[in-house]
Amino acid sequence: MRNAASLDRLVLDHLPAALRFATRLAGSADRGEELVQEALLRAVRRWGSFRGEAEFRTWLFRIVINVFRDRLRASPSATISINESHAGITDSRAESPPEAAVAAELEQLIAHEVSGLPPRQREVLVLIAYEGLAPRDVAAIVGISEANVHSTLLAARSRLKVRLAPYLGSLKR
Amino acid sequence: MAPEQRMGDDHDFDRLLAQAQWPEPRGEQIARLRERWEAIGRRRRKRQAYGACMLSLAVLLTAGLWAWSDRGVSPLAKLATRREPPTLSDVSEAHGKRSHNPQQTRFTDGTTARPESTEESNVSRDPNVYERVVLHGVWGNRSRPRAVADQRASGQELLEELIAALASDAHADVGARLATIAGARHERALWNIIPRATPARRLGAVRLLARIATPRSVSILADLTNDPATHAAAIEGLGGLVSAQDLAQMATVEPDAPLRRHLLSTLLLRRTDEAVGLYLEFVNNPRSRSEVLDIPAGMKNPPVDVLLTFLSRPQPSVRLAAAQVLGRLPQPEIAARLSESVYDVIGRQEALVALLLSPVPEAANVLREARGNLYLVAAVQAAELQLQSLAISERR
Repeated sequence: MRNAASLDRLVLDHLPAALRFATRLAGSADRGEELVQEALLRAVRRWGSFRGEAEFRTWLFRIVINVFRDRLRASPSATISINESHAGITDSRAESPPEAAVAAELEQLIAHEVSGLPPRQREVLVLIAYEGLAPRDVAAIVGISEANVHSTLLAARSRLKVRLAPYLGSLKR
Repeated sequence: MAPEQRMGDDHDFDRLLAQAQWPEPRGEQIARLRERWEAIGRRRRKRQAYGACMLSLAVLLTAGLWAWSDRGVSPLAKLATRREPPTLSDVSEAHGKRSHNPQQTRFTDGTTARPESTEESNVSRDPNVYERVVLHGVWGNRSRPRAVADQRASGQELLEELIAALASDAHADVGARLATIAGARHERALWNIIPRATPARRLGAVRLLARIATPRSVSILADLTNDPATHAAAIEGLGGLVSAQDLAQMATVEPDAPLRRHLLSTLLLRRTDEAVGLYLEFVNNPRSRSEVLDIPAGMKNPPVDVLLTFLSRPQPSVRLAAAQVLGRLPQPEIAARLSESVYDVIGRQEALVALLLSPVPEAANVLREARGNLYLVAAVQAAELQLQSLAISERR
């Protein structure tokens, strides 16, 4: 049933998931909220194009990603970079990175590293690793081939492995 | 690096990635977004309702103009604007008579009659028409047929008479006279009267417009719903013009509670599956439920038959909404109808919910029997639990 009432219900049901996804993409809750606000406006305008072939969540995430990309295009500084990511979260009390992890900031550090990846890699990694979507769905959302999804995911993981290598050692211990 | 070691590293890396912790969406963020979404929804619904009204208005206006310019205009008026003398066939058409064509008259021996000459035709016609059309020359702009002016004057008087009758009594019996004045001209006359009339005359005019309105009057009636003195009559008029969907949308965006109830009551008067289904959506909505539940109970003739069919719908929420409404209706015969539904596979529990809610003694009798029936006792208990959980959720 494709009417205004069903759009209302679907949007309200998926609002928390969309906000969580946008926060992961943008790296901050406030930017995530801005992304979702803009995405909601676009969802209303494009509701006519939703044919019900894809899940509503997939459709909404695609809109969030488009808004995210448009924002990046308009203002490249709207996303955090890997370099600045460390600056904001290092625990001044800690003497070395492993100690920072022990100081319970490792979780945020990893999140910042993920949100500091190049946009395409970030989109693919977040959708697969944190939203639990299948590569085929990710390919449809991001607008690339499935093979490209795998290679982008590999690139993202390699990049993160390098960035997170010191903490990987601490985890083993 | 050995494959085993690489797999182990990957596993550790996945564990590390899984620890990523972004700020969780805060309650106020979600609330802000919901608020924003509701504002977008309100604007959208208003725009849709307005768009639908405008579209129907435009279509009707175009159709009306076409009909008026070509067919709808009185043939006598057409004659009056002609630059050349009218023929008698024109005149007979103007008087609603079929043109006499001697060529078509066939005798039994297969021959046809000789066509009448113009003079013969003129003489054989109504002498008044002959005099008016041929002798006094009713062509050009020099004179209009007196019949049209007379008709207009009498129409105006009738209009005033009906306005006065309806101003004093909303249910005045104006039956046959109403058919006489139904038409675009009188509808337009009412549009002009309404803004300038005294309150009582205005009410009469709105009631009259509600009875003869065509979709061209939708926007005017929609405006008149904002006036407390005329909103009931205006909604009555709109009820006959707009779709059930439009009525429901108007009720959704209407901020005034009594007006909202009136719109839903008008919607229920349609007694169709669509209208009742749209009303039940309001019952399903926790925010509007308490306000709309008793609307059918306040109606003289609630759509009981249609509501009962909703007890066998596949969606449990729809069935429960119908049961809540039926349970508030005070008619004893509904208990008898519900007692039949408790033996249905689908809707049994909801029928029992309606009986539990029902204020009539007959419902209590049915329930007493059901509690003593091994086949139904479990369903009665389930219905009681459902009612309790409903009451708890409403208290929240």
